[in-house]
Amino acid sequence: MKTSPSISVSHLSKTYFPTFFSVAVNIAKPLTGRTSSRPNRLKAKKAVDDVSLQIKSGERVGIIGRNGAGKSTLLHLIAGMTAPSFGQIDIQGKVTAIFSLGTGLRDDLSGKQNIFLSGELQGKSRSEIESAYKEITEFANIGEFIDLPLRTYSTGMKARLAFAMLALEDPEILIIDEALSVGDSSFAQKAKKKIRELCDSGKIVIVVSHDLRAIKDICDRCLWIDSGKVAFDGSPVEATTRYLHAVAQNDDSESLAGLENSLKTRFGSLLNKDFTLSLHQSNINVGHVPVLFEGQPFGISSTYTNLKTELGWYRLRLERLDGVLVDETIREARQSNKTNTTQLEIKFPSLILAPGVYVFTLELLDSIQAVPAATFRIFRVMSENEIAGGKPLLYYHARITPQEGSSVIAAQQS
Amino acid sequence: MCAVTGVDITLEKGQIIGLIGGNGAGKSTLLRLLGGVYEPTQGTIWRSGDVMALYELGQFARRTLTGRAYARHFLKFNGQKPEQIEPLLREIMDFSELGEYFDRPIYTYSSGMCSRLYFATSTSLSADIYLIDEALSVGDEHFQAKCWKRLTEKLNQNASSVLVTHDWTSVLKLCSRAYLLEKGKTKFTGNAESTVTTYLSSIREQLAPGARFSNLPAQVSAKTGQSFQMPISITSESDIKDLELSFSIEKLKSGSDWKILILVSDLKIKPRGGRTTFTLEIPDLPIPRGDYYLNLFLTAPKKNGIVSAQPYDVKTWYWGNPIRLKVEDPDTQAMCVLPKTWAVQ
Repeated sequence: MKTSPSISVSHLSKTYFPTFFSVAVNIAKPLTGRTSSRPNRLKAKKAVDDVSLQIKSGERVGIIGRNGAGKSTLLHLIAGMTAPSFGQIDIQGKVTAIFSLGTGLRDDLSGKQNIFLSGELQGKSRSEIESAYKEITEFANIGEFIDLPLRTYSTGMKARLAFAMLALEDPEILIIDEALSVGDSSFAQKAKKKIRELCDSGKIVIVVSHDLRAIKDICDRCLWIDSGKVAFDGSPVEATTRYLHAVAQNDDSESLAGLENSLKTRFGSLLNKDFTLSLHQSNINVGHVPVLFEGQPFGISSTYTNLKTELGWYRLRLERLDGVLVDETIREARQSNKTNTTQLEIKFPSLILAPGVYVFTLELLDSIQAVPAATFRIFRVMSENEIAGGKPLLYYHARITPQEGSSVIAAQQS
Repeated sequence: MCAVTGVDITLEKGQIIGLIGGNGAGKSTLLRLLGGVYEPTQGTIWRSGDVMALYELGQFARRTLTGRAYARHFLKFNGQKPEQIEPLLREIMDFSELGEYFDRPIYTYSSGMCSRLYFATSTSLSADIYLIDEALSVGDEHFQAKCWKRLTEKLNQNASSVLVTHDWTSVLKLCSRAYLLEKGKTKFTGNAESTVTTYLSSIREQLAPGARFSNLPAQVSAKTGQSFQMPISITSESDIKDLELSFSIEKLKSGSDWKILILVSDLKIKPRGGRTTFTLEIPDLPIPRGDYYLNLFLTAPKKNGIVSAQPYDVKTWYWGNPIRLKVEDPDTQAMCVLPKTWAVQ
């Protein structure tokens, strides 16, 4: 009687140390007098850092994380391809891993020959392979290509064949690394169904993917790995949302500095300390980058003084971080006569922008459309609501009401 | 067995064309024929200009080389002079974000790191013609965005390109023309939008029975800044307690842009059996003059945040049955017109 498969990992760490060669090169560096732009390679890298987890029979576990977060190392450890530096792994069951699809397939053999060869290597009998062959060809659905050498296959076909050949393996713990992203949508559906079937019969499936939708569809548990540690372990929907937020924040801080610099170069000498722009919302968070909340009213104030030229127009532009021009208004300018200081107030009844980073630029134009002065302000929009099904430019509201005379129970906006 | 049969394709200078189709349709074979990997059995291919192939990236990489050594070999192989190589190497190192790994052997890389290296290296040089096979599915979300940006920059420098992909959204955004392949034959040729519509019509989900939109107009018009109202009738076989209506307004310029401007999802409605009419109202319509698509979706409520595979009814451009929305009044280069008031003191 077989026991059901399970994985138990406690305090698992994997450290990659610098190689002897790189140490030697570093020591020799001052002696040879050669200066190198290469970074120091003498740091040990903790690819997996004190990870403990239990995976029970029948679980479909997704693993997500940035490139280099340690996902692959963790799987290699579970698959026994590399030894842990510290900690324990206890695995019940046979591990089958697809790290890169098509490993072990021979390019010069046809699909059919590959299936039979692989079956023989697994120690299956002729009749077992023949029945599996039927199943595989049906699943892979590559038609007459099955009798052609593998080198004539497209990536998608290879992936389908390799996945279908799992039928030969009879896996108890199946590890799939980035392998599902190659097929088209109908194949993805079939693969998902197959994975469900495996798990329903008590097997374990672990999927690593950057395709968050696939993770949400396939898995019932999701681990988010960040710099070698488990940052989150729980429902796929929550894990992917948290992960996406973290990625977005991280990217923003890098690109914000770039945006500010590019705006400074764009406007150059037009920027003037006597021309200011500020944003206000009741709960404004005054930091380097103001944070505004979607769905609430907000306003822009601007003051300028001592302009020598005669003003013609104001031009207010709103741009998104990726350069999309969201809004542009050109208005006739008025310079007040009494004082040298002019104040401009622009009010928005509601902030209807989708979450992200934006910039307002305000330019003063003279009568011949030249720009004597400009100013800008970068800000971030946050929202408490999440819109499902796409990424619109605006978060705008709409109402749906039953028409009079129609027979309706009730209608409301969520 | 013919992988590609009787295909005619013309790619002009500065043009980007897309090849879409299911697995095994012959897209990859066609791309490799264009790139000169295979010899055609019949027919001719005429090329003029440098070709940069972005498929099977890293096929020449020896795993014992460091990332830097690989990139240097690649650049040398592509005829770069020694003094051109150093700045390019720095650029590749920055773009691939490999950091200190750039000086470690490729066999220590994770698969994501490999593809970042190969992509950064292959795209560091400029060419007249780019052949791209699913190159945009490289790495995580952040890196994909970077790749996307880099490719569009390259392509906008008057380069020509053939793009092979499952991802029809990139065909919409980039390609002026697209070819739908099926079993090695061109099944459909046209602008990106019509080709994508044809492609999607072959793989779209079935409608669930029970409720349908009825008598929707093919075109509606609206004015910027004014309330937009539209009656929506729904016919259902019986009382339905929970139904969700979602709608979006999208701007689609084939080959240059595709944006969802407004998306409101999950308006809850409860139609009685027979026909029920609702009024959809968007106050102060914040979009400028132009032609848009208004898409409507009638679905059952989500379960665990996942939309059910079978919608009741769908009206959208990619099903070929959208409602055209024509907006009149002010003309602006911007995507939207935000409601606002000005005061000068």
